[in-house]
Parts: sequence; structure tokens; C-alpha cells
Amino acid sequence: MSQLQSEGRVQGRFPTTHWSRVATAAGRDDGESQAALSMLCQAYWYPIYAFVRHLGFTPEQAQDRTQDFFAYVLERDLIARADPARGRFRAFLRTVCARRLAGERERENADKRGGGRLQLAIDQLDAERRYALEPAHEMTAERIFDRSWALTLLGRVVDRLRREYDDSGRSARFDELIAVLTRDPESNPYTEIARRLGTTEGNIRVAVHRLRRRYGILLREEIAATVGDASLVDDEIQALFAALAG
Amino acid sequence: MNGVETCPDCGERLWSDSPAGLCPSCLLRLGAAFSIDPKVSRSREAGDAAYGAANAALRLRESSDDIPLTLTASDEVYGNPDPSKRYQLLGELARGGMGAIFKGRDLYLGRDLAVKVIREEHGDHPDMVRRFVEEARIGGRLQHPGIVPVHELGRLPDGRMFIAMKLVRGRTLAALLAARRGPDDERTRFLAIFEQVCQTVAYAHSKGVIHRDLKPSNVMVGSFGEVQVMDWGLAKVLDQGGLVDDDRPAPACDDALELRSWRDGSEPMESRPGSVLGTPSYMAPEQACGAMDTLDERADVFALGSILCEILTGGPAFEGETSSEIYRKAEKADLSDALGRLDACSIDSELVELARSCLAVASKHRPRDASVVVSRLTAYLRGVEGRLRDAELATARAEARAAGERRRRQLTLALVASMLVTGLIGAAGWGWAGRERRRRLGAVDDAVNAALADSARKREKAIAAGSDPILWVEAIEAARRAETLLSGNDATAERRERVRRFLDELTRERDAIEAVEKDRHIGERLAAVLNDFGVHGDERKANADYAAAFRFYGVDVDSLEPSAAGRLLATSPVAPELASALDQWAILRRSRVLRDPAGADRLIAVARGADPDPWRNRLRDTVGRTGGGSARRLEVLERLAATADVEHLPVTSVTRLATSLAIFGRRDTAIALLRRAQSSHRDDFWVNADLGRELLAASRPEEAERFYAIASGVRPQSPLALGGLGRAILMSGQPEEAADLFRQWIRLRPEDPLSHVALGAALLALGQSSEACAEFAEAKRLKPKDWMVRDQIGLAFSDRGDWDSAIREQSEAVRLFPNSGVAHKALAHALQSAGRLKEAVAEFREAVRLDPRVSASHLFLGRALIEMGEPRAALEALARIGAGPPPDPLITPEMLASRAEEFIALEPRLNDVIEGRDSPVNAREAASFARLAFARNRPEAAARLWSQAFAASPDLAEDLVAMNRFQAARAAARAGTVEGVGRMSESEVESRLKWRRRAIEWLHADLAASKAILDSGTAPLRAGVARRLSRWRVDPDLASIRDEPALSTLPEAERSSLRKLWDDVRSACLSNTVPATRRSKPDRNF
Repeated sequence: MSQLQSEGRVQGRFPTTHWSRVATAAGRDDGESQAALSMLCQAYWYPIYAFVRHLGFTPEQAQDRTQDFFAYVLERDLIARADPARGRFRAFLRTVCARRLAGERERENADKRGGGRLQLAIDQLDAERRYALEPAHEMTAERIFDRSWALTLLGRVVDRLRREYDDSGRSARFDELIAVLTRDPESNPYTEIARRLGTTEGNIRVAVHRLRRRYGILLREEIAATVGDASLVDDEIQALFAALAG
Repeated sequence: MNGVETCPDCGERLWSDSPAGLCPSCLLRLGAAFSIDPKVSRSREAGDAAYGAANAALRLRESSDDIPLTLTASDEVYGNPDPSKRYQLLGELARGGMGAIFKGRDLYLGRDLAVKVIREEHGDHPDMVRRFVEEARIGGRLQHPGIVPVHELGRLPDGRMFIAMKLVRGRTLAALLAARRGPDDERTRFLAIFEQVCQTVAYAHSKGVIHRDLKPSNVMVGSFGEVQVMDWGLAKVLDQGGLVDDDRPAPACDDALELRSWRDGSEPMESRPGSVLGTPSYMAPEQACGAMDTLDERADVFALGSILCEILTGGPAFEGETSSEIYRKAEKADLSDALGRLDACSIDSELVELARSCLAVASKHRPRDASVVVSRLTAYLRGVEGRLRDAELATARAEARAAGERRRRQLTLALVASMLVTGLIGAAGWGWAGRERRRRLGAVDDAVNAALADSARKREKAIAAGSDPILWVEAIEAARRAETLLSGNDATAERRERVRRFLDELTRERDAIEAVEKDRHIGERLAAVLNDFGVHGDERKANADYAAAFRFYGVDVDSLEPSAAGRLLATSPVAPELASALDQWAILRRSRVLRDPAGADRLIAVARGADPDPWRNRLRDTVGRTGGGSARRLEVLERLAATADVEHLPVTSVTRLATSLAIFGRRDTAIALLRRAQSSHRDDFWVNADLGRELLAASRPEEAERFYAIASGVRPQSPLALGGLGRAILMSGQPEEAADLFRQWIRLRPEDPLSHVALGAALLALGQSSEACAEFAEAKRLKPKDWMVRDQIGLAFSDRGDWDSAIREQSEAVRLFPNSGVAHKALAHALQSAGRLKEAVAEFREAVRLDPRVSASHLFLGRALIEMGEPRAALEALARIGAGPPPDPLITPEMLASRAEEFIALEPRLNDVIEGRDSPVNAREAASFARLAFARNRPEAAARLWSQAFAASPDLAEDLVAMNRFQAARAAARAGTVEGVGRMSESEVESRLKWRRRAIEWLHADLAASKAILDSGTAPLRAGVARRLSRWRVDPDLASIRDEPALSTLPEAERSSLRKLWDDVRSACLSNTVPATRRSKPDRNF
């Protein structure tokens, strides 16, 4: 749930533009694509934070460096120079971050970037709470990054799904249904829910089915926004699988 | 870290930072199951299947099951035999501790397979690599149907190792177990699966291999019940120095040595000391303690015991809220919970004992290896099976005996049920008798037992013999003897009660069989009534037959209160059939002959009581005309047709619905409905016969033939089917074969005049007129007073275009049954077809007067009046056509009314047109004026107008169906009549000669066109042409150029030319062997 709370801060702002398009427009001082890009960064700051933390920085340093990193990326128009057709936003950020931070370990008190065009809303406590849950000792920084990326992405999708239900006044229903979203329908988990919601098992089955379908579409939308091309979505899903398994 | 929670679906570790507490892997898998393609994402199965997939170590996305096997190998692939490029990875199926499993495609062989790829992070870990290789080798060497065959071990282009193995489709035992409603659900099936698991493990043990991670999620159950033990990644080969007990016999086969020899030259594959591998719920305590290296077969035996425990009680050996709790229990060998569950379950003690012994804490107390488990389990299962088989065999024998002598359709559930009950009680009786005999071998008991045995023997005989009442009486008498013997004795009340119950059951059984006989009999009798009616067509006889049949059954439907009669019939197991017969009967009562709507309503009320099925009640409403106007009824009928559950409805309901639809002019819908019914009731007599009838009526004799042939095959003795088949064959132009069938019909029913009429019709088509007339004479001799026989003979002549004979027979029919509108109408048709219009109109008027409800009579009267030139009278007649089914499929009242109105509109201009002061605006109007002029007895003007019309539009002349050129020829022939030629001026004589020649020209042209169709047209077309040509030979207007007295006045050249024309016409008529439809309608002749 902590995931959802932290994501709640960027409510209603989901990328609807593919990062590839954002990237190609980024250098042209296009306000709209800048906003979309900021939103993407805003959405995925935590994996960078976790990455930085894993390199041994303190929470304060990690927060600074995360801010610093995004400012760096945006100021240098790095995204505009990236080749989005061949890469993914995730890989791009991770690679740039790794390079950027490679030489900074010794550099205490790195200069704060001034006039940052993007001020990330990083809640230090929340960030640390999440970081504490990472199986950090088992993994490399890159794997931590990918894993938290996958969880962030999934969290955003679930959150977006939840908002759709909230907006139509079906919050209670959502809370029941989401609990069985991934359950095997064969295991017949619906009887109890139907009883609690005062409806039939068949209705629940249909509702879960709809929720799943919607979830699947949102997940793909979300992933599509972070990869260059919709055809890469399945590859990215495989990559995220790998990231989670790590 | 908060301990190790695992996902209940996929078994993956569940982190507390998972979104919404859900398993992230499952979330992704769920997303992967939905393609962005809307067509695919709409598929519910695709989505849902992904969840089931989660739990499996090797599990397929079921949506991919149907991907066709395609050979993707190209020459390039063959030419480049790089094994690393042989396999194409298609998508991840599952993920385990050591590697990920992908669905792969073997590009060489074009097959799908599973490719297990070592996980990247293990890629350079020597232990892991060794374990991976070990797994492949074990899988490759163990050759057993229960072990997934390994095809290849290799490296991918990126250097990662992979194992290519057979792709197994199915579900894991874990998923199957989770889907159970409870442990009692399908226990036999799960025990059979478990038996196969044990056999596979026993095989592995015989090769010196132990699995070490046996659990339900590692067992795949395929779509065809094949069971495979998966994931040998933790398996271990026991080497010589391993923990082999002294008393363990040396491996029996040489394979074991071979297997061990793989290791030569490599260090023994050992797990890291102290590390725990496996799954705690199924883990032997010694394994949980980390003694991985000293494990032997008995660790697997424990896991098998845990699986068995789960099958029997719903839970494995160790259960708990968290993994750590389970693990702790395993470590401490805390089996109290599992043993408690085993003790509490109500299962055969052999099974519980087997599970307990496998779960022994000390490994030495467990069965030595899986083969011991197999033999104990197999012994148990065979025992159960034997007991089950004996019981089933007994039941089957009883059923077979019962079914043997009875037709399968008539055997009702009531009989089977009563016999089963008797069988059980009988068995109880014998059990009791046996025990009694052992206890006290007294004379009375012997006598009682002998009497009961006698009774049982006779009962079996009685069942075998069918309904022979004598055998039943004897069986019951024998049982009574036993009862009497006991009553005079000190027998206990319980024993007396048992014999009494046996006797009761026997009596009930006898009654049931009698009832079944009665039901079967009534079913056959009612079917026969309908069957006979289909042939004799006598509503009065059918009405009487129905009443007699129901009286015989014990229900006099006309004297009982309908609701009471309905209740009586409702108790019968054949109630729907009885109700159906009542429905059919009601249709007869509503017919024009019986005209008894009140009686019909009574029958329907009884039918409702006997069979309250709502669908059939709506059909009753509609057929019974109580369901609103005809449009509404038609709508309901069509809806019923659309919603008809053809497969499950009583066939009679379907056929009745189809018949109703056909009556309402929806013959195509009826045929479609019957076709559906036919595909699920292929052998049903009525479906096939009705389908044949409708197809015949739709002039599709070839198709009709097929279904009549089936009907005839089902009931070879059925005159209805034989007759229909014969007519279909006759219509499709094979009169000889038809004649053979009609002769068969005559052999079946020599007293049935209609069989002789049918044969006569076929003989007429064969040109054997005298033989035909002999058959007709026989029919008349059999039923001299039956108007319908004459009517049918008349139709047979009509079919051949022998209008004079047809008129003769129809006149006789009218004489025999002067009050029948139908008879007058038939005569009128014959007269009109012969060109005797005035007489035809008179007969149509009589038909309308006698039976004003027959829409068709009004329609054809209207048509005849228009031809007579009386359009206003025609409009009156047409206005009397009531709402209801269309009287004719082709000719509509609207069509005729507009024709009549046209005549009325043209009338004022007629004289001007004839005098040349006005002229028709187009060819069509010219033709109309021509008809009108002819009706006004202005034949010359008519002929001239026809000439104009044909000149303007040659197509009009060529329309053989409308008979325009024939009508023109009639007008010209009248205009050219040579009578009184002496008193005429030369120009007048010239004009008449001209018109006569023109008439002959037109006839020649028509004859040529007709012959072309006779040579090459379809059977129905040929029949129509032949009938129209036949009219030429009788039409009075052509007499001046046809009949001898008139011909003799003509010049010799013209005369001989005309004789040749008429010879040609006659031979053209005779050349056609195809009659028109049985109930042939007159042709549209304008």
C-alpha cells in the first residue's frame, strides 16, 4: 500500500504520450511535450533513487543526486539526443544514471544544479521506507533499478485502475476485486466476495474479468509510454519479468 | 525483510512492497496475456488462462495451445547447422529457481518445445551450471512416459545454457487440487494420477535417481490424462558410496551403472552443505534439517506421502500461515495436524495406512522406495476397481436384459428405475437369505429360499420375454408362496417385511412394464392414426381413430372434463407424445371437413393439462388461432422457429411448427427448421417425411427424394414414406422407378385406392394409358363412392395435361360430394385450364358459395372473372379473401386487383382503340387492351393489338409462362374462323385467312420455344410447358384450326400443315415424363 500512497502524489498525471515522441519533441521547447516528459520523470524517480542509494549514498545524498540527475538529463536535452527507436526509457535512464554517477562517489557535496526546470516531489521518509523493503543485499544496483522500475510501473497501473473505479464511485468494489485480480479463476475465489458485496458469483466473475481486461489495457498503455514502439511492449514485459525474478 | 511470503498462485516470493499486495509476477503475466490487439484482448480465455499458468513450474499459456505447427525452417537454417540458432524463443512460460522456461520453436523440425534457460546470474556459477547440466542429463537418460523427454543441452548465442525439452501442455496437479470442491471430489481420478506419479518415481528410483522436490506443482497432468513429473533440477544420482542401506538390493538393471557412469571424471554433484532445497510442505524432516547429501529414496517417499495426504485430506503434511512456519514444522517433523486429518477422514483404512507409513518421521519406517508405494497403492486401487466393476456389471446386465427385447425408444426411465430398485432389494434379500441359511438351516427357510429363487428366476425370464403376462404371474405367485411360508412361522417381523417388500417391488415392476407396454402401444397406435391419415386423407376416419385410441388408453377425452383428462394423461411417461397427438387431432377437427372448432379447443385444453410446456403452449395458441390475428400468429411462429431448441424439443412439436409455418406461406423457414431438426434427429420418421413433403411442395423433388428415402428406411412399411418417395421420384422424371415404388405400396395396402391412383399416374407418365386406366378403375372399384379417389385421378390426368379426362373425373367427384367446395374448385381449375372459362367461373362461384372460408377459391374466381372481362365482379371476389395465409405462393390478390383496376381504367378507351382513334401508350398496355378486347368478344381487334404489342416488344411474345402468344393465337384463330365465309366480302375473307395464318404462325413459334424447354429444361419447367401445350389440344378457341370438321373446309396444303402441327404438339406432350406437383395449381395464364 505504501507504493500506492507515494504514487498518490502524482494523481491524475499519467503519461499518455510515448516517450519516443516526447524525446523527439524535447529539444524544440515544446511546452506540452516538456510537461509530458516531466511527468514521466516524476513517475519514475524512485528507481533512480533506489539505484543511487544502492551505490552507497545516504538518503539525503540520494535525494539530492536524484534531483540532480533529472535536472541534468533535462538541461542537457539528453533525451532529445537519445535514439528512442532503439531503446527504452527505463534502459536510457539507468544507463545515463550509471554513467553520471560513476565518477561522483568521491565528489562530496556535488554542486546543486540551479534553476532546475524540474523539481521532483521526493518524500524522503516514503522513499526510505520503500528502499528498506528492497532485497538490496541480494542484487546489483542495476537490478534494484529494474526491479523497482517494474514495481513502480505496476503500482501506477493499479493506481490508475483504482482511480477509474473511485471516479465512478465504486471504491469498495474495487478493493474487493483487486484482491483477486491475479488469482486463478479456477481456484474459485469469488464466493466470499459475492457474499460481501451482496451479489452473485457470476456477477463477480464478470466484474473481475472486466477489471482484468481494463488492467491489461492500462498496463500495456503504461509500458508503451516507456518504450519506443508498441511492438516492443511484449519484450519489455519479458524484461520486467526478469527484473522481478532477480 | 518481512519473512518469505509466497504468491498463492505462482509460488514466487511475495514482497511487502508489491502493488496492492498483489504478486508482481502474476500482474505482469496477466498483462502479457492481453495483447494490445483488440481482437485478442476481447478474449476472456486468453486473460483467464494466464492465472492458471502461474502456479506451474512448466506451464503453458493456454492461449498459445492452438498455434498451428508450422514448419518455419528454411534452407538457410539447414545450411547453417549452428545448434545455437536452432531454437527460437517465443515467450516465457514460467520461472523457477535455476532458470526460466520459454516456449521455443525448433526451427529444424518446425515443432514447439520448452526451452529452459539458465538464469543470467547463475551463468557463471559453477555449482549452478553443474546442476543445470545434471538436470539435463538426468532428464535425457531417464526414459519413461512420466518424465519429460529432453531433446538437447546447449548454449544460446549469448552464451547462456539451455535445455530443450518436450513442451508439455496441461495443468499442474496443484492447480487441479486447488480446483476441487473438496477432498472427496474426484478422489478416484486423483488417486489414478497419484499412482502414475508413484510409478514414475519408482522408475527413477530404480535408476538410482531421487527427485528431492516432489510436489503437486511439479506434476503436470496433460489434456489426455497423461501424467508427467517435472523439474528434475534438484534431482540427485545416488552413487555407490551414497546412503544406500545395506539391505537395499543392488540395482537390478545395467542402466543404473550406466547412469552412474556419467559422473566419472567430475566431482560428485553435491548440494551446498546445510542448504535447504525443496518445498517445505512436502519435505521430509531430514531434508528440512539440511541433510541434502544424505538423502535417499525415502525422502521422495515422504513427499509422495505428503501428496497423498493432500489428495485425501485437502492439505499436505505441513501447513501453516507462512513459509517459515511450515518450514519450522517440517524441521521439527510436526505431523500432528496431518495425522489428525488422516485419522478424521472417512477413507478406506488401507489408503490412510499407506499415507501414514510414507509420512513416518524416521525414514527407516517408510516404504523402502516408490516401487513399494506403487505396489501397495495398485493393490488397493485394483481391489476398489474390482468391487466397482462387479457392481457396474450387475447393473449393466440388468439393463441389457431389460433393453434387449424392447425398442430403445419406448423403454422409459420408469422401467429402468423400477428394475434397479428391485435389483437392490433383491440383492438385499439374497444377502439376508444367505445369512439366515448359515444360521439356521431349517426346512422353512429352505422352502422360502427356494420360492424366492424360483420367483427371481421367473422374473428374469419375464423381463427377457418382454410383456408376457403369464411369466409375471408365475414370478409373483412364487414370491407369494414365500410370504405364505413365513406367515405361518415364527419368522421375525423384519424378515416377513423384507419378503413383502420384495413382492411389492415385483408387483410394481410388473405394473411398470405393463404401463410401458401400454404407453408403447398407445404411442404406436397414435402414430399409426396420423400415418394412415397422411395416406387416406379422411378426416372423419382419423377423428374416429384418435378417439378410439384414447378410449383404449383409458381416457375418453370427449366425455371427461378437459382438466381431469389432462391430469390423467400427465401422469404417463409419454405425456408429451400424447399431448402432441391431441394437438394433431385438434388440427384435424379445425379442418374444413370436420369443422369442429369447439372440439378442437377441448383437445387443446386436454393437451395443455397433459403437457404444460410453455414453448409448446405458445405453439398451441398460435396453431389454434387463439393467439391474435394472422400477422401476429405468423410473427409468433417465426419467433418460435427462431428460438426452437430443435435438439431437445419433442420432434412432433418441431414438425407441427414447421407445418404451421408452411401453411402460413413460410415454406422456406419451415424447410430450414426441419433441416435443423433432421440434423439432430437423423432417423426420425416424421421429420424426414415432413421435410420430404415440404420440399416436394416447393418443387424440389431431388431433395425431397433424399428425405423420403430416409423416412422409408426408418419405416419400410410406411405407405406415407413410400408414396412420398414415389412422387418425388416421379417428379424428378423417373416414372419407371416411381411405378416400382407405387407397386410396393400396393403390395402393402392393396385395399388402398390411392396406391392404385399413384401407380396409375406413374403409368400415365410412362405413356401406358390403358394400364393406367386399369389402375384407376381398380381404385374406383375399391371406393366407388369416394370423391377423393376421383379427385386424385383427376389430378393425375391434370398432371399429364389430359384436361378432358381430368374434367370428367372432377365432375364425378363433384357428383359424389356436391357439398364440397374443394371438389368444385378442382373441377373449376380443370375447366379453366382447358379454356372453358364460363363453366370454370360457374364452378368457382359454387365453390365460394359452399365454402366461403377458402381464400383460394375467391382468388381463382377473381382471376377467372378478369379473364372473362368482368373486373368489377373480380374485385368483389378478391375483396372476400380473408386475412390469413396467402392462398397461393405466386398469385397474390393485390396482383389480380391491380389487373382488374387496369381493365376498369382501360374500358372507356377500348372502343376508340379498336376503331383506331386512340392507341395504347406502350406494348404492355397494348397487351392489356388485347386481353380486354378478347374478353369483349372482339377477337380480330385483340389479335391486332397482340400483333402491335409483339412488334413493339418481342419479349412479350416469348413469355411462355404468361402465355401471351398462345392467347394471341386464340384471338387470331377466332378472328380467322371460316364459318359463313360465303356471305362475306372478299376483303373480309382475306382478313380471316390472314388471321388464321397468323394464329398458326404464333402456334409454331410457341411450339418451337416449348420444345426447346422440353429438350433442356429442368423437370418442373418441362412439366409446366407440357401442361400448357396440353391445353392447345382441348381449347375450344383453337377448334377452327384443330378439329376435323373445321379442317376439312381448309385447302389441302394448309390442312396437312396443320395436321403436322398437331401431331408435333401431341408428341411433344407425350415426350415429357414429368408430371407437375401433386397438388398442382393451374398455371398463371396471363
